[in-house]
Amino acid sequence: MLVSDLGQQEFLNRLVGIGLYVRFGPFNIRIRSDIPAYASVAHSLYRFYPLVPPDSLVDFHVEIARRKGMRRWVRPQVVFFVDGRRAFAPYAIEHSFPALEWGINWCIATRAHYLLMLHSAVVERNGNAILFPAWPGHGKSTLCTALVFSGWRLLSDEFGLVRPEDGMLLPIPRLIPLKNESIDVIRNFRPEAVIGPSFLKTRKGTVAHVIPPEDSILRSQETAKPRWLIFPRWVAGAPLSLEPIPKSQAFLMVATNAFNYEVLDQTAFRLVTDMVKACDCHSLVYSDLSEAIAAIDALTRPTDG
Amino acid sequence: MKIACVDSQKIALSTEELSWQDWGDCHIAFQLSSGETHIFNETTVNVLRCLGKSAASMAELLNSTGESLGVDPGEISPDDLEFVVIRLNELGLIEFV
Repeated sequence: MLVSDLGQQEFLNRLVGIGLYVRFGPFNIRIRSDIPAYASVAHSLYRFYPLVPPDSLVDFHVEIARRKGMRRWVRPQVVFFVDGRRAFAPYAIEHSFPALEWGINWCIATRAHYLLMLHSAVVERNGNAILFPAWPGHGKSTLCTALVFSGWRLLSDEFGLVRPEDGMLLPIPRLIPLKNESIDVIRNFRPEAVIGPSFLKTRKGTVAHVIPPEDSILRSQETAKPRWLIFPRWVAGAPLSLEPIPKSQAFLMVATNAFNYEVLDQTAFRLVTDMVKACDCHSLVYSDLSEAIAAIDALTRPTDG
Repeated sequence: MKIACVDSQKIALSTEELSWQDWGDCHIAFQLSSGETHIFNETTVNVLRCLGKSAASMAELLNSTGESLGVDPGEISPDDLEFVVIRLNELGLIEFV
C-alpha cells in the first residue's frame, strides 16, 4: 500500500491520530502533525512511498507540531519532535515541510550507526553505483537529480549508506531538496520532473523538493555495488573536467566526509578502504549538466569483453 | 620541542595495534586504541618498520632510513628524523626504553 492509496482526509486523520507509518529505504518512520498545510504537501510529495503496518518496528517517531501559547496566533511557529523530545529551535509555520524533512535526515545522520554513512549522493545502473561525495554547495543534489531523470536509479541524494556486512549500498530514495538557483536549473533541464512548492527564506534559502522517479522508490530494497567515486564541484562557467585522482586522496576525502567514520572505528576504516579499492576515482568540475552527464555516461559505459 | 632522551635512549615500538593500507603514494594506518587514522610518508613507515624488528637508537634509525631510501645517511637531516620520532611518541606508537 502506498501513500497515494490514502485519500487526503484519511491521510490527515492518520497524521493527527495514530501517525503515518511510512518506509524510507531501510527506515520505518512514524510521522505525526497537526498542520493541514504540511499534510497537503506531504500527501502529494510522498505519493509513491510505501506505508508499513502500524504494528511495525519504527526507527524514528517524528512530529512537526504547532507551538503552544501566543505563538499559536502571532507569527505562528512549529516545533520538530523526535521520539517525543523537542529538537532544534522553532521554525516558521510556512516551513513545516522542509523542517520535517531536515529533521528526518538529522535522525538518520545521528542515529543509524549500524551503517557507515557517507555524505554522498548515490545513483545506480546495471547494479553498479556511482558515489558523489561532496560538501554542501558543490552541486551534488543538482547533478544527482539530473542523472536520475537521465536513466540512472536514485539511491540517495544525501546518504551513502554502506552495509558493514558486505559493503553494499542501501537505497534511501527520499525527496531531493533543491536550493535556490538549482530549482530553475532542473525545471529547465527536465521539465517532466515533479517539483513541489518553493519554500522561501528558509534557513537554507529557497528550497523545493523533487519527487524521485517512481521506479527508484519501488526498488528501494535493491542494493548496489560501489563502482565509481566521483567528487563533483559545480563552478560557474568552468570547462568540463573529469580526471582520475589517486586512491589515497579518494580515501581521505571519503573518510573525512563520512557522518560517522569515528563512531565505527576500524569497521569504517575497512569499509572505506574496500570501497576505494573497488572504485575508479575521479574528480569532476562542471558548469553544464548535459556535458557532465555525457562524460559520466562515457566513463561508466560497459566495455566489451 | 626537543626531547632530551631522543639522543641517549633506545626507541621501541609500543604495543599499539595498527591496521595498514598502502596506497602507493602514501600509507594510511588506523590506530585501534585511539580510533585515529594516520597518514604516513615513506620515512615514517621505515622508522616503524625498523623498530618493528628491534629497538634502535637514533643513529641506527638514521642508517636504516638512509638504506631504505637509497641515500647516504649523511643526507638525512637528524632534525627531520627527530621530528618524526617525537610525533610518533606523541601518538603513542613508540616509546623510549
